[in-house]
Amino acid sequence: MAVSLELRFSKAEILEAWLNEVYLGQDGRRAIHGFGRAAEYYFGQPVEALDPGQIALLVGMVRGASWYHPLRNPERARERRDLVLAMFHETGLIDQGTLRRQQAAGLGLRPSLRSGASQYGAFMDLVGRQLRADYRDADLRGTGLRVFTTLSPSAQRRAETALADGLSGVEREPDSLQGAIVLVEPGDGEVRALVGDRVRGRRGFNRALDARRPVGSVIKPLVYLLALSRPDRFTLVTPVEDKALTVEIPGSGPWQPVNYDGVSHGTVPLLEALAQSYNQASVRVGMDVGVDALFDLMRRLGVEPGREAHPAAFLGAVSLTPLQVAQLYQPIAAEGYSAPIRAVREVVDRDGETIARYPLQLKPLPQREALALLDFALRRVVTHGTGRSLASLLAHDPGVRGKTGTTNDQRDAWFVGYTADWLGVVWTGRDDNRPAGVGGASTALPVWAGLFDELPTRAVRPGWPDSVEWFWVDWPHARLAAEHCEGAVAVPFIAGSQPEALSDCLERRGIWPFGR
Amino acid sequence: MKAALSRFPISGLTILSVLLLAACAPWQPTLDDPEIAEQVRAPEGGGEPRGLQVYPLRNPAVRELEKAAEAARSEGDFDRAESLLERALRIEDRDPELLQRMAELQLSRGRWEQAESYAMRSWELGPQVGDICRRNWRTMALARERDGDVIKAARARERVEICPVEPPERF
Repeated sequence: MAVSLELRFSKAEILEAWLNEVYLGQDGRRAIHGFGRAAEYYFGQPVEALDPGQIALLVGMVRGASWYHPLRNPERARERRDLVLAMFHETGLIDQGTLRRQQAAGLGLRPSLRSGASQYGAFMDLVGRQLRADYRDADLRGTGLRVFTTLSPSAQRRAETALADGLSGVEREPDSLQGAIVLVEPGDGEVRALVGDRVRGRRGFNRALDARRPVGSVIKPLVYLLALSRPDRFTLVTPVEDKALTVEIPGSGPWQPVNYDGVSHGTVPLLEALAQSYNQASVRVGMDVGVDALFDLMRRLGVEPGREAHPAAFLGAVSLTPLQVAQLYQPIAAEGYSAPIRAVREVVDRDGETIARYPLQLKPLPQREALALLDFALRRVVTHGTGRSLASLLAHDPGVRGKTGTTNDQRDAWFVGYTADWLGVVWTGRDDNRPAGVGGASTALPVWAGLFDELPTRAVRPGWPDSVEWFWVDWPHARLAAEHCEGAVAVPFIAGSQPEALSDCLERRGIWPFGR
Repeated sequence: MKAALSRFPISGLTILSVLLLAACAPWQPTLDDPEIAEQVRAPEGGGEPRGLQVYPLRNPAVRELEKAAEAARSEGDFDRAESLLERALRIEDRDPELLQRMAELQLSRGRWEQAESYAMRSWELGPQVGDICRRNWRTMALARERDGDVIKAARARERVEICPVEPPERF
């Protein structure tokens, strides 16, 4: 083996390859290969910037990265380093003065190494996964690639703080809850921040990527989107029955969904059913749409919902990770243009040549008109619906849209909300999946608001297809009204699907709403 | 369709594409076509833009990137132009002018779907009047034509016509 290597490569090439590959310890679950990575990990500096003592420490560790580990076995590491420094002196690499100074100095480790904190670890997990999807492990280690990521360090810091503070603020027992945050820029799907643990910098289970939890009512917007894509059948004011119902499930008997508050609300406009998250009305809408259509849509958005197409899926009996939920909401938050969620923008090799680029692409969803209506409904959630406590949590509301979600026995709480600039997914619950006493509005929403209160946001004019038209409606009835009518609400419709019936308010006064 | 096209300067390449379309084969780009974007840009009558124009204030960094992208495009370096426009769009993802430039670049590269999407987005977020509105719809018309959708292309051509808004008369 050694002979054939030397026949092909120069000694310098072999040494270089070895220096880039040699094992120098462990960063959580990731192995540290090569002096470059090790320099970053142990000292927080590029290898060129290390002093002779730091280089000697790494050289010493080659013999046994764990045996000579500077944190676990500092004495042994130090003796070993001093021995290497002495050899540097013997071979003339350093002079007597440097030797004395370096042997007297500390190990020069980065301060955060001791706490076990690795910066942006959760986000880097995602970067690693995205890269491994496109490259072999060996390619990523050896060749000195530079990876341009989508992380926003300031947003990341804010997200970490928001989760830690938010959970402490809402939990009944200290440290009982866990959580995760995914923060995405909707327009291009770039991940700006990712938090997978309430303890900043702790490595281990990354809930943002790996905690698969039932999503509860967070799924409903997709059900309503499919309904609204059939304007001949559904508009935002279509009356829906929120009454007890029984769904026959082949093979498992009848299923009787109930509402969160245990009460049925009678006939309500579709918009209200979503804003108040009524389960029985949502299942009725869902049965009209079909579970298969819902699962198809999820797959088209890049999320695998699983195989069992049970109608309970309309109420969110589908387990997804926070990252997957972000993927489902990305086109909703981006006015109907879908983009894959990603953490890497570009990969450049040692010579500065771009070897992979993930270009911007605009992919409009076929349901863009219906999305405009859904967007309006998700605004209604935070102004009149289950998320209305947002107003008291957010100092400035740039037009937030969102949806709450709470699962059976209050095990999981979700809030997904977006503005023109950000899409944020928050999950909270317990690691052991026991009832946690959490709620979308009471637990996840405050965490979300704590983050969004700290983010710069703009209010912008949304851009929707021109086939979406606004009409005054005699709320909550499906009748056209006019601005002067009492209680009239302006509601968007896909052109031609607005109600034909007129409000009493118009009939009585004999006013035709569209001029003469 | 020929009649609709003849209002614009027709390059050899467009004639070729029309012939291919007539044979019902979707036109496949074999080379980048910088001239197609010029058809979009040329204001009708070749002179000053007609009707009401809206010129919003723009971020200087975005303007610089846009200029550099334009330079790269005119040198035929479409990869670089695209990457510069992407950087600009990362700063201002809702800028109608940037989106339209990206649409025109995609048109030059023969990526009809992307050209149409960017032009549509530019129209949705833009002033929907004046010169940029005409460029939006002309891009969509060309992209749809090249993509083989003659009916949708004709509809886009009609939209080009209703773009100009005459400035209000003052007394």
